[in-house]
Amino acid sequence: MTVATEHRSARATLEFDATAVRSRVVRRQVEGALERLALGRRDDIWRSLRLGGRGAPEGRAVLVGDLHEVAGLDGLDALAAGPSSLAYVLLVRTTLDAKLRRQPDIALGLNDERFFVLELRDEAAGSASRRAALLSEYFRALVERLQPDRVRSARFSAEDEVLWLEFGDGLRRAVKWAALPFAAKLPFRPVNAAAREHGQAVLLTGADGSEHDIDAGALRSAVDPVSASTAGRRHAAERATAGARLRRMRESLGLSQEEVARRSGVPQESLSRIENGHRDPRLDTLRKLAAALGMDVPALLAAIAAD
Amino acid sequence: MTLPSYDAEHEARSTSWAGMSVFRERYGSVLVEIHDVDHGPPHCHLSGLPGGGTARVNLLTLEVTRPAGLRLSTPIRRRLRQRQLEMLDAWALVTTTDRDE
Repeated sequence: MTVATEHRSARATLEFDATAVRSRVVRRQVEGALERLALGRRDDIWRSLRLGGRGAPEGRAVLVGDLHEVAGLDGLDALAAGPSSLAYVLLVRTTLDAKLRRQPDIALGLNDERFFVLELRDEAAGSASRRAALLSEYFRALVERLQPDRVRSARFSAEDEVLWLEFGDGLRRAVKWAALPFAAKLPFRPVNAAAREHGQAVLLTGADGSEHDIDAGALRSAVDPVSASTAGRRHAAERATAGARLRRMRESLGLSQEEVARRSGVPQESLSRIENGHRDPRLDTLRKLAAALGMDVPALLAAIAAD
Repeated sequence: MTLPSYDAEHEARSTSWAGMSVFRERYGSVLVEIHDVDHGPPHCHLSGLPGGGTARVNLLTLEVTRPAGLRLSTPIRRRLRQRQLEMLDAWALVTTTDRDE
């Protein structure tokens, strides 16, 4: 896959996507696969760039690095200081290392979404600040595709009631507990917070010793409007998929919305909103709809399910 | 069907807040959870998948929504299907910021 974009006078090309790795063993395998793709390899580039670009060779080369390391400002500066002809290969830590370990070539060939090569062409040569801007633009896009809705670390300052969060893409936020949109709905006051091991939630401990999982994505949306917008679109698409399948099921039975509404007692407006992906049906609503369609809930869910 | 009264729902929620998760089950190494505070559409989270992976599964479609393209093993899909109704029921106890119904 090749995606080109204009950035002022500079142009960059995201050549292809593949799969990201973390372990050194797999990393070597990936580098081997890249070599076979004739992209070249320079072991010392990453180290030299981290030292401010000293010793970085000119010419087309491949940098293998961990995107989590370079997404920070220091990493961006180091990359921007490197030669403009460098092709950046950014490895992202994922849970798919094992898969890649088995077949790195295939993983690369599949043009998957978890491995990135960014090549700055000659037009991108120029000041370090320009290159930094260009890289930032791409990193933002890449980071979006990483794990912004995972929490790496969390802590709660009971003294000032501030929740400190660090997300999977490196974003750090400190937010007043009372400022979180769901805080008022929760009948407890946290005294401690910690990221769950898998990063999908933050475990809050209340003053009474109770523990509560707060979804990391919900936290991200609460502190990051851009992520909230992205997540909103994703969730809308999910609702639309389920709603469309429900509509097809109803239509396959030759029933109108009005008829199903009459039979089920579910207001037609609600049914319309569910079918159009604007509302999540509750279980009791599904029970009513299933009965109106002449089936039980498992059969209705099977019709909505992917397989 | 008789809908639960506000008091009954509140009591159920209070029970949840007393330290019980909305939903948490382990199938071998795989932990299936519904978080106490989350956003819709109804979904559960899986962790401990082969390779240490995690996944988010839509409770209506039972599709893996993240990571895209991940296909769960047949035993896990079967268990999710078996527990689908319970999980959808449990979702009513989740504190959401975007529930529309």
